[in-house]
Amino acid sequence: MKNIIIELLKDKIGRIGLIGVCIVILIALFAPVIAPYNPTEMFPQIRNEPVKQFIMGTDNYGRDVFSRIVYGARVSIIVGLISVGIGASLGIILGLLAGYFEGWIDNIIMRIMDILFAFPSILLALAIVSVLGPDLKNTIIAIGVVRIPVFTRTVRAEVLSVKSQEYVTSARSIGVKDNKIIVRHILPNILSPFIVQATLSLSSAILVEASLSFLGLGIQPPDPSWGSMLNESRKIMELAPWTAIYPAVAIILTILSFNLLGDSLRDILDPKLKNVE
Amino acid sequence: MEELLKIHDLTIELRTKKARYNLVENIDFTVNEKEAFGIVGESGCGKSITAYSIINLLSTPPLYIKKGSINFKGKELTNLSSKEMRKIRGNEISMIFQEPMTALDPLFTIGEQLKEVMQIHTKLTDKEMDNKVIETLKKVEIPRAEQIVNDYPHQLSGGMLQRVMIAISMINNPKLLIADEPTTALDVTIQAQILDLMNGLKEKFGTSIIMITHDLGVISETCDRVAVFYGGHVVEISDVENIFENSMHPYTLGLVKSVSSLGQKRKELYTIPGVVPTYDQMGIGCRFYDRCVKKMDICKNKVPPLKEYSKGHQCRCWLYEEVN
Repeated sequence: MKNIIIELLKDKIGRIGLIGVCIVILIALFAPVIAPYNPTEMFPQIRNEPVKQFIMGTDNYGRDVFSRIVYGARVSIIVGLISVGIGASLGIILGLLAGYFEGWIDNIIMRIMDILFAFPSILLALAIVSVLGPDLKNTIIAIGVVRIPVFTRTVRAEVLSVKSQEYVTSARSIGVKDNKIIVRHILPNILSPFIVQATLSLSSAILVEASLSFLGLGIQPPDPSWGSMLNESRKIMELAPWTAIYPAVAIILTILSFNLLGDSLRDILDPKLKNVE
Repeated sequence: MEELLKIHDLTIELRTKKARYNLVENIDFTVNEKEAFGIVGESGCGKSITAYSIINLLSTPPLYIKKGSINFKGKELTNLSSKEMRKIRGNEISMIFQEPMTALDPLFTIGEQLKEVMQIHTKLTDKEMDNKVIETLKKVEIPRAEQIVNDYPHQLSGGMLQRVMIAISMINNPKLLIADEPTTALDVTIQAQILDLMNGLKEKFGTSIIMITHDLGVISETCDRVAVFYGGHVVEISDVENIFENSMHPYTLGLVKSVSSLGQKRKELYTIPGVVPTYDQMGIGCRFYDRCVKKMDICKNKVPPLKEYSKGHQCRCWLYEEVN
């Protein structure tokens, strides 16, 4: 773990990604300290352009754009982490089962995953949210469910390749139980692609959250979310461009950081390069 | 000598969606106590799956034991539950593999992997296990055993790793060791060392060995008796001396003839013409029919029986049957 961070810092792309991700996470953690105002507090100065008092201006209702972006980071990170957590943990369980036992278990799991995969992720998330009703919890569930097939497939493919390695046969040949083989010999050996997938998934989870909120089905106003901020600024974009530009920039930079981090992690964790000293 | 393992009429079937094929058919052989038994044959002749079937390591599906019995110390292995089978694996019967580089988990140290076998089958304390690990590593002639226990597999050479594999398989004093081409992936000098080591261990631990290989040289160096496999049939079983001097089956004759040796000048190495038929092209007769130099009419449509022609020398060929 320590080595991975050192490697990341050595890599130019990894460094930028890691710093970006850290900044976003820190902003999310310390939102109440960083934000000058309550994100839902309305000031009489509506659509104020960026000045010293409101460094990113105010929106249509007189709320401070900067404070809303800071609190929006919190929403993005929470949604990203928890939904990827749900998707990853279910995906890893299903993937391990499908890959290790094959046969009918594999068939059932993978056909369900194929069905889930057939829907574009936003459409599927939209469908789930419209059934469950739009709020933070349901947004997280919807995005989590959408991520399950991605993880299941990655994990299953890796399990299949690791399973054919001789050390798995050799573990069986000394009498190790199936569940122990899975946990002790297969899981640790598929972790690298899994971590990469998780990092890249974070960025797309955040993006889906922003899209859902933009469409009005994610985080409900007045709670701040980058997507809903973009939606609110749609009508006043010409009057007050800062209400659109800053949330957009926040989304872009966050997604970019996560993607850069994921890319760099993929290079570092590539098993072909791993054992080179 | 007492019988340790007796395989009788073993047939292993490959089930595909279209058809079912017998990959090995009517396998019959016996391994005695403290004996090294060789299985020799070309790639794809069924040596490995026969060995894998002994401790039920076949990948099921698509491979199934169709019929036959595998009797180990009076216990029928084909009827064991997977729990009972796990107790035997690595404890009474253990196995070493062809590729030492991939047969060890890259994420655990040598010591941890040696301990894993003991954790499963014994109730030793951590300290006792540590001692036994070092002791066993020394028995397989690994230098600096104390340091190597903390090394990872990628830090060791192939020869070293194969010694570690042997240590893992011997640590619980098994009755039977199955070695699936243990020297194929190693270079010649290391091969000789590993074979010496295994010979020595056989004496020291009183373990029986099943040595699977395609190299008659390995057989002559290590084994007491040998079974020759061809296309999923046992074609000849005999003492090692006999197989070289009095081989009966035309395939064995060809095999012995095609061994190259140093110091002999030959223009061309002898080869058996033709290739092994794939499992879906096997006829109903003798499986060596297409390549045999002494084929007769009867060979085409009828599989010859495996019969004992002189003491301890069995052969499956119509040549030696009274014409019927």
